[in-house]
Amino acid sequence: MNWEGQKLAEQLMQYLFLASALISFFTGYFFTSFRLMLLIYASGALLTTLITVPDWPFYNRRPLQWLDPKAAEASSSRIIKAAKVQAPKKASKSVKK
Amino acid sequence: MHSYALRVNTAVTLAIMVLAVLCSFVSLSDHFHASSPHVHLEVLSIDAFQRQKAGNDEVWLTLNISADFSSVFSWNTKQLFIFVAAEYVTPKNVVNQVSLWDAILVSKNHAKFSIKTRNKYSFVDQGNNLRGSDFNLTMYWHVMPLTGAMYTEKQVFSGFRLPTE
Amino acid sequence: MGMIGDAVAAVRGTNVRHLLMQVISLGLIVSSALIIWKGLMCLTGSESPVVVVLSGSMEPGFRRGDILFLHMSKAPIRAGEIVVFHVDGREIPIVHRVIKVHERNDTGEVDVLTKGDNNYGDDRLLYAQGQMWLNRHHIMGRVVGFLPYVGWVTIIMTEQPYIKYILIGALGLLVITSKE
Repeated sequence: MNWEGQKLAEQLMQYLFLASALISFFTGYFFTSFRLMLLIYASGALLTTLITVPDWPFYNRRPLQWLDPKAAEASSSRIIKAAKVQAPKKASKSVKK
Repeated sequence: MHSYALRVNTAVTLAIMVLAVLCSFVSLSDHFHASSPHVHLEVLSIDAFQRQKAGNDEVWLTLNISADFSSVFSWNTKQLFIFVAAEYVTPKNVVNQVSLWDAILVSKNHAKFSIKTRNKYSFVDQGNNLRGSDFNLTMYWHVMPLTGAMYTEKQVFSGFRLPTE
Repeated sequence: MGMIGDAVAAVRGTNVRHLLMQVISLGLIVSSALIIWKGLMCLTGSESPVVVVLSGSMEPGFRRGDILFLHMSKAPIRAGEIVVFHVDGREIPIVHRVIKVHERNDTGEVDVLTKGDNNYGDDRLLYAQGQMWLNRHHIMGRVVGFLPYVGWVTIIMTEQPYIKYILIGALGLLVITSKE
Protein backbone atom coordinates (compact mmCIF):
# COMPACT_ATOMS: atom_id res chain seq x y z
CA MET A 1 0.00 0.00 0.00
CA ASN A 2 1.44 3.38 -0.95
CA TRP A 3 1.08 6.73 0.76
CA GLU A 4 -2.07 7.74 -1.09
CA GLY A 5 -3.54 4.32 -0.40
CA GLN A 6 -2.78 4.56 3.30
CA LYS A 7 -4.44 7.93 3.53
CA LEU A 8 -7.44 6.64 1.63
CA ALA A 9 -7.69 3.55 3.85
CA GLU A 10 -7.59 5.54 7.06
CA GLN A 11 -10.16 8.05 5.88
CA LEU A 12 -12.40 5.29 4.57
CA MET A 13 -12.15 3.50 7.93
CA GLN A 14 -13.20 6.56 9.89
CA TYR A 15 -16.07 7.54 7.60
CA LEU A 16 -17.38 3.99 7.31
CA PHE A 17 -17.40 3.43 11.07
CA LEU A 18 -19.15 6.74 11.59
CA ALA A 19 -21.69 5.95 8.87
CA SER A 20 -22.47 2.49 10.23
CA ALA A 21 -22.87 3.91 13.74
CA LEU A 22 -25.28 6.60 12.53
CA ILE A 23 -27.29 4.21 10.37
CA SER A 24 -27.52 1.60 13.12
CA PHE A 25 -28.54 4.14 15.76
CA PHE A 26 -31.37 5.63 13.74
CA THR A 27 -32.60 2.29 12.43
CA GLY A 28 -32.56 0.84 15.94
CA TYR A 29 -34.32 3.88 17.37
CA PHE A 30 -36.92 3.84 14.63
CA PHE A 31 -37.71 0.15 15.07
CA THR A 32 -37.14 0.39 18.88
CA SER A 33 -34.80 -2.55 18.73
CA PHE A 34 -31.43 -2.49 20.43
CA ARG A 35 -30.65 -5.86 18.92
CA LEU A 36 -31.17 -4.57 15.39
CA MET A 37 -28.85 -1.67 16.13
CA LEU A 38 -26.10 -3.99 17.31
CA LEU A 39 -26.55 -6.29 14.29
CA ILE A 40 -26.33 -3.41 11.83
CA TYR A 41 -23.33 -1.94 13.59
CA ALA A 42 -21.56 -5.31 13.73
CA SER A 43 -22.09 -5.93 10.03
CA GLY A 44 -20.96 -2.38 9.28
CA ALA A 45 -17.81 -2.90 11.31
CA LEU A 46 -17.12 -6.20 9.56
CA LEU A 47 -17.59 -4.59 6.15
CA THR A 48 -15.28 -1.72 7.11
CA THR A 49 -12.62 -4.15 8.25
CA LEU A 50 -12.91 -6.11 5.01
CA ILE A 51 -12.62 -2.93 2.95
CA THR A 52 -9.77 -1.25 4.78
CA VAL A 53 -7.56 -3.98 6.19
CA PRO A 54 -6.59 -6.14 3.19
CA ASP A 55 -4.29 -4.62 0.59
CA TRP A 56 -6.82 -4.19 -2.22
CA PRO A 57 -5.43 -3.19 -5.64
CA PHE A 58 -7.20 0.19 -5.62
CA TYR A 59 -4.92 1.31 -2.77
CA ASN A 60 -1.96 1.01 -5.16
CA ARG A 61 -3.15 3.07 -8.08
CA ARG A 62 -0.39 5.62 -7.62
CA PRO A 63 2.80 3.69 -6.83
CA LEU A 64 5.81 5.59 -5.56
CA GLN A 65 8.32 6.68 -8.14
CA TRP A 66 11.69 5.56 -6.89
CA LEU A 67 14.81 7.19 -8.19
CA ASP A 68 17.16 5.11 -10.26
CA PRO A 69 20.06 3.70 -8.30
CA LYS A 70 23.22 5.78 -8.67
CA ALA A 71 26.76 4.63 -8.33
CA ALA A 72 28.11 5.61 -4.93
CA GLU A 73 30.77 8.26 -4.71
CA ALA A 74 33.92 7.52 -2.78
CA SER A 75 33.09 10.14 -0.17
CA SER A 76 29.47 9.17 0.25
CA SER A 77 27.83 8.97 3.62
CA ARG A 78 26.13 5.90 4.98
CA ILE A 79 22.68 7.17 4.08
CA ILE A 80 23.27 7.07 0.37
CA LYS A 81 24.74 3.62 0.68
CA ALA A 82 21.71 2.46 2.49
CA ALA A 83 19.54 3.93 -0.23
CA LYS A 84 21.54 2.07 -2.79
CA VAL A 85 21.00 -1.21 -1.05
CA GLN A 86 17.32 -0.68 -0.43
CA ALA A 87 16.12 1.12 -3.49
CA PRO A 88 16.03 -1.78 -5.96
CA LYS A 89 14.29 -3.99 -3.42
CA LYS A 90 11.55 -1.46 -2.70
CA ALA A 91 11.08 -0.56 -6.33
CA SER A 92 10.33 -4.13 -7.22
CA LYS A 93 7.98 -4.46 -4.27
CA SER A 94 6.22 -1.15 -4.61
CA VAL A 95 3.07 -2.88 -5.83
CA LYS A 96 2.77 -4.47 -2.39
CA LYS A 97 2.85 -2.60 0.88
CA MET B 1 4.92 0.57 9.16
CA HIS B 2 1.45 0.44 7.67
CA SER B 3 1.09 -3.29 8.14
CA TYR B 4 -1.94 -5.56 8.39
CA ALA B 5 -1.52 -5.87 12.15
CA LEU B 6 -1.46 -2.12 12.54
CA ARG B 7 -4.57 -1.66 10.43
CA VAL B 8 -6.42 -4.43 12.30
CA ASN B 9 -5.41 -2.77 15.56
CA THR B 10 -6.69 0.60 14.38
CA ALA B 11 -9.93 -0.91 13.13
CA VAL B 12 -10.62 -2.79 16.39
CA THR B 13 -9.81 0.22 18.56
CA LEU B 14 -11.97 2.50 16.45
CA ALA B 15 -14.81 -0.05 16.40
CA ILE B 16 -14.87 -0.33 20.19
CA MET B 17 -14.64 3.43 20.65
CA VAL B 18 -17.50 4.07 18.25
CA LEU B 19 -19.52 1.33 19.96
CA ALA B 20 -18.98 2.97 23.34
CA VAL B 21 -20.12 6.33 21.98
CA LEU B 22 -23.10 4.61 20.36
CA CYS B 23 -24.08 3.02 23.68
CA SER B 24 -23.82 6.33 25.51
CA PHE B 25 -26.09 7.92 22.91
CA VAL B 26 -28.56 5.09 23.38
CA SER B 27 -28.66 5.64 27.14
CA LEU B 28 -28.94 9.38 26.49
CA SER B 29 -31.96 8.76 24.26
CA ASP B 30 -33.68 7.20 27.28
CA HIS B 31 -33.94 10.65 28.85
CA PHE B 32 -36.44 11.60 26.16
CA HIS B 33 -38.55 8.56 26.93
CA ALA B 34 -41.66 9.57 28.84
CA SER B 35 -43.33 6.87 30.90
CA SER B 36 -46.69 6.94 32.61
CA PRO B 37 -47.33 3.61 34.31
CA HIS B 38 -50.63 2.88 36.03
CA VAL B 39 -50.48 1.12 39.36
CA HIS B 40 -53.19 0.15 41.76
CA LEU B 41 -52.63 -1.64 45.06
CA GLU B 42 -55.14 -2.75 47.62
CA VAL B 43 -55.29 -5.04 50.60
CA LEU B 44 -58.10 -7.50 50.09
CA SER B 45 -57.91 -9.22 53.47
CA ILE B 46 -55.78 -9.77 56.52
CA ASP B 47 -55.63 -13.54 56.72
CA ALA B 48 -53.63 -14.28 59.81
CA PHE B 49 -51.97 -12.50 62.67
CA GLN B 50 -49.59 -14.37 64.86
CA ARG B 51 -46.69 -14.00 67.20
CA GLN B 52 -43.64 -16.03 66.27
CA LYS B 53 -41.67 -18.02 68.83
CA ALA B 54 -39.02 -15.32 68.82
CA GLY B 55 -41.65 -12.77 69.80
CA ASN B 56 -42.03 -11.03 66.48
CA ASP B 57 -45.39 -10.17 64.97
CA GLU B 58 -46.20 -11.85 61.67
CA VAL B 59 -49.02 -10.98 59.31
CA TRP B 60 -50.42 -12.82 56.31
CA LEU B 61 -52.44 -10.78 53.89
CA THR B 62 -53.90 -10.92 50.41
CA LEU B 63 -53.10 -8.18 47.95
CA ASN B 64 -54.71 -7.10 44.76
CA ILE B 65 -52.08 -5.75 42.40
CA SER B 66 -52.98 -4.32 39.04
CA ALA B 67 -50.55 -2.36 36.95
CA ASP B 68 -49.62 -1.40 33.44
CA PHE B 69 -45.91 -0.84 33.00
CA SER B 70 -45.80 -1.07 29.22
CA SER B 71 -45.01 2.62 28.83
CA VAL B 72 -41.87 2.25 30.94
CA PHE B 73 -40.27 -0.01 28.35
CA SER B 74 -38.02 1.79 25.89
CA TRP B 75 -35.72 0.31 23.28
CA ASN B 76 -32.97 0.24 25.89
CA THR B 77 -34.84 -1.67 28.61
CA LYS B 78 -33.59 -5.10 29.57
CA GLN B 79 -35.97 -5.78 32.40
CA LEU B 80 -38.15 -4.27 35.05
CA PHE B 81 -37.89 -5.59 38.57
CA ILE B 82 -41.08 -4.61 40.32
CA PHE B 83 -41.83 -5.15 43.97
CA VAL B 84 -44.38 -4.14 46.57
CA ALA B 85 -43.01 -3.19 49.95
CA ALA B 86 -44.83 -2.50 53.20
CA GLU B 87 -43.30 0.52 54.90
CA TYR B 88 -43.98 1.62 58.45
CA VAL B 89 -42.36 3.31 61.43
CA THR B 90 -41.99 1.80 64.87
CA PRO B 91 -40.62 3.29 68.10
CA LYS B 92 -37.49 1.20 67.67
CA ASN B 93 -36.94 1.59 63.93
CA VAL B 94 -37.11 4.76 61.91
CA VAL B 95 -37.36 2.79 58.66
CA ASN B 96 -38.99 -0.58 58.13
CA GLN B 97 -39.24 -1.86 54.58
CA VAL B 98 -40.59 -5.35 54.08
CA SER B 99 -40.84 -6.63 50.56
CA LEU B 100 -44.10 -8.55 50.16
CA TRP B 101 -44.19 -9.49 46.52
CA ASP B 102 -42.00 -9.07 43.44
CA ALA B 103 -41.86 -9.93 39.77
CA ILE B 104 -39.54 -9.55 36.81
CA LEU B 105 -40.96 -8.10 33.62
CA VAL B 106 -38.84 -8.74 30.55
CA SER B 107 -41.11 -7.59 27.77
CA LYS B 108 -43.72 -5.03 27.03
CA ASN B 109 -46.26 -7.73 26.23
CA HIS B 110 -46.37 -8.98 29.80
CA ALA B 111 -46.25 -5.55 31.42
CA LYS B 112 -49.98 -5.26 31.95
CA PHE B 113 -51.38 -7.55 34.61
CA SER B 114 -53.72 -7.87 37.52
CA ILE B 115 -53.34 -10.50 40.21
CA LYS B 116 -54.61 -11.42 43.62
CA THR B 117 -51.87 -12.87 45.74
CA ARG B 118 -50.79 -13.77 49.24
CA ASN B 119 -47.61 -12.05 50.36
CA LYS B 120 -44.72 -13.95 48.77
CA TYR B 121 -42.25 -13.04 51.52
CA SER B 122 -43.10 -13.15 55.19
CA PHE B 123 -44.33 -9.91 56.69
CA VAL B 124 -42.51 -10.02 60.01
CA ASP B 125 -41.73 -7.11 62.30
CA GLN B 126 -38.67 -6.74 64.51
CA GLY B 127 -40.74 -6.88 67.70
CA ASN B 128 -44.47 -6.74 68.19
CA ASN B 129 -45.57 -3.39 66.88
CA LEU B 130 -47.80 -4.48 64.04
CA ARG B 131 -51.17 -4.57 65.80
CA GLY B 132 -53.15 -1.50 64.97
CA SER B 133 -50.27 0.15 63.16
CA ASP B 134 -50.47 2.24 60.02
CA PHE B 135 -48.44 1.25 57.00
CA ASN B 136 -47.86 2.26 53.41
CA LEU B 137 -47.70 -0.01 50.43
CA THR B 138 -45.21 1.15 47.85
CA MET B 139 -44.82 -0.14 44.34
CA TYR B 140 -41.21 0.18 43.20
CA TRP B 141 -40.00 -0.41 39.67
CA HIS B 142 -36.31 -0.88 39.19
CA VAL B 143 -35.42 -0.38 35.55
CA MET B 144 -32.41 -2.23 34.21
CA PRO B 145 -31.31 -0.83 30.85
CA LEU B 146 -29.26 -2.66 28.26
CA THR B 147 -26.68 0.10 28.51
CA GLY B 148 -26.55 2.99 30.93
CA ALA B 149 -27.40 3.50 34.57
CA MET B 150 -30.14 1.66 36.42
CA TYR B 151 -32.82 3.68 38.16
CA THR B 152 -35.75 3.14 40.49
CA GLU B 153 -39.10 4.86 40.64
CA LYS B 154 -41.95 4.37 43.04
CA GLN B 155 -45.57 5.08 43.78
CA VAL B 156 -46.75 5.19 47.38
CA PHE B 157 -50.20 4.08 48.52
CA SER B 158 -50.78 5.21 52.08
CA GLY B 159 -53.49 4.88 54.69
CA PHE B 160 -53.50 1.15 55.36
CA ARG B 161 -54.05 0.03 58.93
CA LEU B 162 -53.59 -3.36 60.49
CA PRO B 163 -56.37 -4.52 62.84
CA THR B 164 -55.82 -4.44 66.58
CA GLU B 165 -56.98 -8.03 66.86
CA MET C 1 37.64 -1.86 10.42
CA GLY C 2 36.62 1.35 12.16
CA MET C 3 33.32 1.29 10.35
CA ILE C 4 32.53 -2.25 11.51
CA GLY C 5 33.38 -1.28 15.08
CA ASP C 6 30.98 1.64 14.74
CA ALA C 7 28.24 -0.63 13.51
CA VAL C 8 28.77 -3.12 16.37
CA ALA C 9 28.70 -0.30 18.89
CA ALA C 10 25.52 1.05 17.31
CA VAL C 11 23.87 -2.37 17.44
CA ARG C 12 24.92 -2.83 21.07
CA GLY C 13 23.68 0.61 21.95
CA THR C 14 20.32 0.12 20.38
CA ASN C 15 19.94 -3.26 22.04
CA VAL C 16 20.50 -1.94 25.53
CA ARG C 17 18.29 1.04 24.81
CA HIS C 18 15.66 -1.21 23.27
CA LEU C 19 15.70 -3.51 26.28
CA LEU C 20 15.42 -0.56 28.65
CA MET C 21 12.52 0.83 26.64
CA GLN C 22 10.74 -2.49 26.85
CA VAL C 23 11.25 -2.75 30.59
CA ILE C 24 9.99 0.80 31.02
CA SER C 25 6.94 0.29 28.83
CA LEU C 26 6.12 -2.92 30.70
CA GLY C 27 6.43 -1.09 34.00
CA LEU C 28 4.26 1.68 32.62
CA ILE C 29 1.51 -0.76 31.73
CA VAL C 30 1.59 -2.44 35.14
CA SER C 31 1.72 0.81 37.07
CA SER C 32 -1.02 2.48 35.06
CA ALA C 33 -3.28 -0.54 35.69
CA LEU C 34 -2.52 -0.18 39.39
CA ILE C 35 -3.21 3.55 39.28
CA ILE C 36 -6.56 3.00 37.58
CA TRP C 37 -7.53 0.36 40.16
CA LYS C 38 -6.52 2.47 43.15
CA GLY C 39 -8.09 5.56 41.62
CA LEU C 40 -11.37 3.69 41.19
CA MET C 41 -11.13 2.57 44.81
CA CYS C 42 -10.82 6.19 45.92
CA LEU C 43 -13.54 7.39 43.60
CA THR C 44 -16.13 4.75 44.41
CA GLY C 45 -15.29 4.30 48.07
CA SER C 46 -15.54 0.56 47.62
CA GLU C 47 -12.70 -1.80 48.43
CA SER C 48 -13.20 -3.64 45.16
CA PRO C 49 -14.86 -1.31 42.64
CA VAL C 50 -15.30 -3.96 39.97
CA VAL C 51 -16.59 -7.50 40.46
CA VAL C 52 -17.43 -10.34 38.10
CA VAL C 53 -20.75 -12.16 38.37
CA LEU C 54 -20.02 -15.82 39.02
CA SER C 55 -23.50 -17.29 39.41
CA GLY C 56 -26.85 -17.06 37.71
CA SER C 57 -28.72 -16.06 40.84
CA MET C 58 -29.56 -12.59 39.50
CA GLU C 59 -30.69 -13.67 36.04
CA PRO C 60 -31.98 -12.31 33.78
CA GLY C 61 -30.62 -9.01 35.07
CA PHE C 62 -27.02 -10.04 35.52
CA ARG C 63 -25.61 -13.10 33.85
CA ARG C 64 -22.54 -15.11 34.63
CA GLY C 65 -19.55 -13.27 33.20
CA ASP C 66 -20.94 -9.76 33.48
CA ILE C 67 -18.74 -7.13 35.09
CA LEU C 68 -20.36 -4.96 37.75
CA PHE C 69 -19.22 -1.51 38.85
CA LEU C 70 -19.77 -0.77 42.51
CA HIS C 71 -20.21 2.43 44.38
CA MET C 72 -20.24 2.85 48.13
CA SER C 73 -21.82 6.10 49.21
CA LYS C 74 -22.98 7.35 52.57
CA ALA C 75 -26.59 7.14 51.38
CA PRO C 76 -28.71 4.73 53.41
CA ILE C 77 -29.41 1.28 52.04
CA ARG C 78 -32.98 0.80 50.88
CA ALA C 79 -35.07 -2.09 49.61
CA GLY C 80 -34.70 -2.85 45.92
CA GLU C 81 -31.05 -1.90 45.65
CA ILE C 82 -28.59 -4.47 44.41
CA VAL C 83 -25.68 -4.77 46.82
CA VAL C 84 -22.48 -6.75 47.02
CA PHE C 85 -21.80 -8.20 50.44
CA HIS C 86 -19.34 -10.32 52.34
CA VAL C 87 -20.52 -13.07 54.62
CA ASP C 88 -18.29 -14.04 57.53
CA GLY C 89 -16.53 -17.29 56.69
CA ARG C 90 -17.06 -16.99 52.95
CA GLU C 91 -14.36 -15.71 50.67
CA ILE C 92 -16.36 -14.82 47.59
CA PRO C 93 -18.66 -11.79 47.80
CA ILE C 94 -22.28 -12.19 46.74
CA VAL C 95 -24.36 -9.86 44.55
CA HIS C 96 -28.04 -9.87 45.52
CA ARG C 97 -31.01 -7.57 45.94
CA VAL C 98 -32.16 -6.07 49.23
CA ILE C 99 -35.70 -7.13 50.10
CA LYS C 100 -36.04 -6.06 53.73
CA VAL C 101 -34.61 -3.11 55.63
CA HIS C 102 -34.95 -2.19 59.30
CA GLU C 103 -33.08 0.94 60.31
CA ARG C 104 -32.65 1.60 64.02
CA ASN C 105 -33.95 4.82 65.46
CA ASP C 106 -31.19 5.53 67.98
CA THR C 107 -27.99 4.17 66.40
CA GLY C 108 -28.88 4.34 62.71
CA GLU C 109 -27.61 0.78 62.28
CA VAL C 110 -29.39 -1.15 59.55
CA ASP C 111 -30.55 -4.74 59.38
CA VAL C 112 -30.81 -5.91 55.80
CA LEU C 113 -32.10 -9.10 54.21
CA THR C 114 -31.14 -9.98 50.64
CA LYS C 115 -32.32 -12.37 47.97
CA GLY C 116 -31.20 -13.33 44.48
CA ASP C 117 -33.80 -12.43 41.86
CA ASN C 118 -33.55 -15.89 40.38
CA ASN C 119 -33.44 -17.76 43.70
CA TYR C 120 -36.50 -19.23 45.31
CA GLY C 121 -35.89 -18.22 48.90
CA ASP C 122 -34.07 -15.45 50.70
CA ASP C 123 -30.40 -15.50 51.65
CA ARG C 124 -30.59 -16.57 55.31
CA LEU C 125 -29.27 -19.99 54.26
CA LEU C 126 -26.22 -18.34 52.68
CA TYR C 127 -25.40 -16.26 55.73
CA ALA C 128 -23.21 -17.48 58.56
CA GLN C 129 -24.71 -19.98 61.01
CA GLY C 130 -27.47 -18.27 62.97
CA GLN C 131 -27.06 -14.94 61.21
CA MET C 132 -30.41 -13.33 60.47
CA TRP C 133 -29.45 -9.96 59.04
CA LEU C 134 -26.66 -8.22 57.18
CA ASN C 135 -25.28 -5.02 58.67
CA ARG C 136 -23.59 -2.04 57.14
CA HIS C 137 -20.08 -3.48 57.54
CA HIS C 138 -20.95 -6.58 55.50
CA ILE C 139 -21.86 -4.50 52.49
CA MET C 140 -19.09 -3.63 50.05
CA GLY C 141 -21.07 -1.46 47.69
CA ARG C 142 -24.13 -1.11 45.55
CA VAL C 143 -24.19 -1.90 41.87
CA VAL C 144 -24.36 1.14 39.60
CA GLY C 145 -23.39 -0.21 36.21
CA PHE C 146 -22.49 -3.33 34.32
CA LEU C 147 -20.63 -4.49 31.24
CA PRO C 148 -21.78 -7.73 29.61
CA TYR C 149 -19.53 -10.71 28.76
CA VAL C 150 -16.19 -9.04 29.55
CA GLY C 151 -15.88 -10.94 32.83
CA TRP C 152 -15.72 -14.26 31.01
CA VAL C 153 -12.00 -13.64 30.58
CA THR C 154 -11.47 -13.78 34.35
CA ILE C 155 -13.85 -16.71 34.83
CA ILE C 156 -12.00 -18.74 32.21
CA MET C 157 -8.63 -17.76 33.63
CA THR C 158 -9.52 -18.71 37.19
CA GLU C 159 -11.09 -22.00 36.15
CA GLN C 160 -8.39 -23.01 33.66
CA PRO C 161 -5.13 -21.65 35.07
CA TYR C 162 -3.00 -22.95 32.20
CA ILE C 163 -4.80 -20.59 29.82
CA LYS C 164 -3.66 -17.78 32.08
CA TYR C 165 -0.02 -18.89 31.79
CA ILE C 166 -0.30 -19.25 28.02
CA LEU C 167 -1.82 -15.78 27.77
CA ILE C 168 0.80 -14.18 30.00
CA GLY C 169 3.56 -15.94 28.07
CA ALA C 170 2.16 -14.80 24.74
CA LEU C 171 1.82 -11.22 25.95
CA GLY C 172 5.35 -11.23 27.31
CA LEU C 173 6.68 -12.62 24.04
CA LEU C 174 4.78 -9.93 22.16
CA VAL C 175 6.26 -7.19 24.33
CA ILE C 176 9.81 -8.53 23.94
CA THR C 177 9.63 -9.04 20.18
CA SER C 178 7.80 -5.83 19.35
CA LYS C 179 9.93 -3.23 17.62
CA GLU C 180 7.73 -0.21 18.19
